[in-house]
Amino acid sequence: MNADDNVTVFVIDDDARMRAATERLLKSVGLHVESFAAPKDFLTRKLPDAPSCLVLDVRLPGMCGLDVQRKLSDAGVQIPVIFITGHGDIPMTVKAMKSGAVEFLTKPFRDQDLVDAIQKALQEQRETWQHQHEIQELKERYQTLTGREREVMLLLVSGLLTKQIASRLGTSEITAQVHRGQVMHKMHAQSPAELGRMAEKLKLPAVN
Amino acid sequence: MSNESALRILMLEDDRNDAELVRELLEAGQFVCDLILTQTRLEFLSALENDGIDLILADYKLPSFDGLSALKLTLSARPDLPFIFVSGSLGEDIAIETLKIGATDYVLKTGMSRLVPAVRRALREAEERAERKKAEEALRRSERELRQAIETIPAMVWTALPDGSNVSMNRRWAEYTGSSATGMGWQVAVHPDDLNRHMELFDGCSAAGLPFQDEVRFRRADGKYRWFLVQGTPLRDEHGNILKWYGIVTDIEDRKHTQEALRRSEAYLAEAQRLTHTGSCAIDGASGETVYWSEEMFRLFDFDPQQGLPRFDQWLQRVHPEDREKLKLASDKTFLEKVACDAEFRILKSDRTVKHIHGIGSPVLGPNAELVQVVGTMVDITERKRAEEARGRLRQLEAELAHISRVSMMGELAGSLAHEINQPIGAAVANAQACSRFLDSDEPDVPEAREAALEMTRDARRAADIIARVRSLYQMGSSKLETVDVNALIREMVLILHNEANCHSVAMRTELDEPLPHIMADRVQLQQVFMNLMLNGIQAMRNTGGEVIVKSQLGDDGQLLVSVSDTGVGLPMGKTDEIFKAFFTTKPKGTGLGLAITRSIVESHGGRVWATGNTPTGATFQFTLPLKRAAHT
Repeated sequence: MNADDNVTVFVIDDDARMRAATERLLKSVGLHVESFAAPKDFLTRKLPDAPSCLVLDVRLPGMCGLDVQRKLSDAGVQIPVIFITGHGDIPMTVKAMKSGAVEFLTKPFRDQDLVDAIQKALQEQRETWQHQHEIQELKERYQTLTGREREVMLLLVSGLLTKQIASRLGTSEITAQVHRGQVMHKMHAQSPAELGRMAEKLKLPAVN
Repeated sequence: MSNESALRILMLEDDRNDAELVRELLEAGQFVCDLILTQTRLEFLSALENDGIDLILADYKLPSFDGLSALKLTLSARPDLPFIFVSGSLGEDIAIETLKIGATDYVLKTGMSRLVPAVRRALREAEERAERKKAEEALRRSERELRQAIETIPAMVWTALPDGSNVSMNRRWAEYTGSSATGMGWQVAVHPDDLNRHMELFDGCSAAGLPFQDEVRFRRADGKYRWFLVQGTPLRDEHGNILKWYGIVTDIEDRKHTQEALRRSEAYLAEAQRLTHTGSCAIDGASGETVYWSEEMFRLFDFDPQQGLPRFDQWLQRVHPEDREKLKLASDKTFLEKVACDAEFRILKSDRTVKHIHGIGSPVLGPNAELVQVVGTMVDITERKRAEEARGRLRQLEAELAHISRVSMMGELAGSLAHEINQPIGAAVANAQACSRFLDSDEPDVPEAREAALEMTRDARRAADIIARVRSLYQMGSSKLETVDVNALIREMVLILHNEANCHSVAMRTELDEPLPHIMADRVQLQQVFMNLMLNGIQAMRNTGGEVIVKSQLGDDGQLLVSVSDTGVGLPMGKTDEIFKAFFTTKPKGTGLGLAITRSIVESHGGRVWATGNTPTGATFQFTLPLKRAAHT
């Protein structure tokens, strides 16, 4: 685990002793921990602009762990969740994993399992972040295209040749050539194939 | 008149020789005489006043007086004195005339030989007359006295003819009735309801010649009736026929009241003895003989009252053989030491059933502290004994039921309890792993490692605590009172049920009045009460989530008041009392025993439990626990 990674592990457990013990364990492996006794305290906190994950006790006063997970996803907060439970409850495990839990650990858990789960969660978090970052950039590039260029890009990624594009748009081949050069340039695409992947990521509709 | 002195004779005679002749004749006739000789009226009258005079002898003709006048004077002054004429010239017709007037006799001087017999006869007759007079006087006096006695004795006295008509009744009758009893007049004073019976009885006695006795009401002058006892005895002639009835009438109104009161009081006592199965008896202090047994005593011990009073040893035969010795010792102690004894024993009835008796013997002492009697009271306590045994069995059953309910409740909680115990174990493991990591590091962090190790110990202890608490709930024990801190107990129960609550998204909150006096209670039973009420609250909110609030406070009446409220489904409509009955349940798998056991436990601690609905939803269960048996904190 990279100590310089500036990650935060959030812990929600109503049992003070259990909470302290978890916090201590994570501290012993060099992780930064913030813990809460009740979910509402956590839900009001603004999440940091850095990778983080949540270690959540399934049974909590007033609100169950699964409810917390649902609330987070309803609010559009994307944070990987590791569930901790006092005793293995298979239906609950299935439910938790289906709704996107990273891991489901039974107390008393092995320290390495928790650490691995946290690593995995943070890794996923990083990947998600990276993906989102890339899309964001593509979107920004796409924004710079004119209407005609966006039409040309759509036809290009549909596999049409320049001549075919010109004919479709009712322009000269030269003009189509210029538009094509602009699209490739503005989108930082080296090849029509790469432009095609970008369109896919941007979820642009295919043209017949 | 045989006076020891001489015979005193008043003589009216003018001739001394004649007087001397009389004396000689009388002395010759064995009389000793003392003659008082008079010749004139004055002399005669003065001598007549002499009380000692026994006899008068008078001449008929005197120079200045006459015998006939003397006779008349004598008859008026001393009519009892014998008066004999002694005359020489008394004609036959005059003599008869004088005898008619009242002279006793006459003797002619020509026949003086008659003198002595005449005197003797006159004296005898006078003596007889005096005797008769005395006897008549005595009779009159005695009659007067009798009459007086009859009139004044404090009772009515009556005489009646055989047909019941009255001859007489003393004045008490008139005083009482204000009317006369004459003839059949007395009947108007008889109470109309009594008259026929009274007359029939009287006629029957009259016909049979038997003494008569009846109780009858007579009307007083003021119109009030009082009870009287009428008694009569017949007087018969030589043939046995009743001539007359003699009798008395006695006022028995007060006695009747007393008898009635006594009879009633005896009836009350007998009834009380019968109802309470209490017999009483008395034994003579000196002889040890039974002197009294009440009816109930005979019934209790199966003796026939017709057979007389049972002796002590006969009575002892009815006692269960194993208890005889004990009873004999107790009895001996009372008789010898004159102290009260008190014993419970069994008796064997003739139908072989056993009865339990509580007996008390009390000595009754005389003025010189001698034992007069021992008075015994025997109470049949069989029913009480049976009820006690039944109560004991019931208590045992209740305890078993409470235990079963507790264990089944713990069964329901098993998962949640496992979690509760797992919690500190999980913490301990995490701490142990942290400890290892702090030490395994390239630069071991010993202070952090030590802290982790200490925490680990605390976690392990906590796990052990929870197990110990839970174990006490599984135990089956007889009720045991100890000092209990209700607040601490509430906190423990919150801890045990904490997870169960979490599981249903139920929060638990306490509002405890601190400090509360400790109470004497059965800890496990109280835990069960809290567990029941808190679990009910949690289960009432299992689909909605919510909050269970447990409050404790010291009420103004010096009782602890505990409430457990929830915001769940609330109480079934109109059944806030029924919910405490056994087998009443609203849960699909409920036994319906939880609240019944709760009530039984609270009431056995002298408290009360009730439920009320909350607005807008939910229920509050409250119960009181008295501090009466409180120990100091």
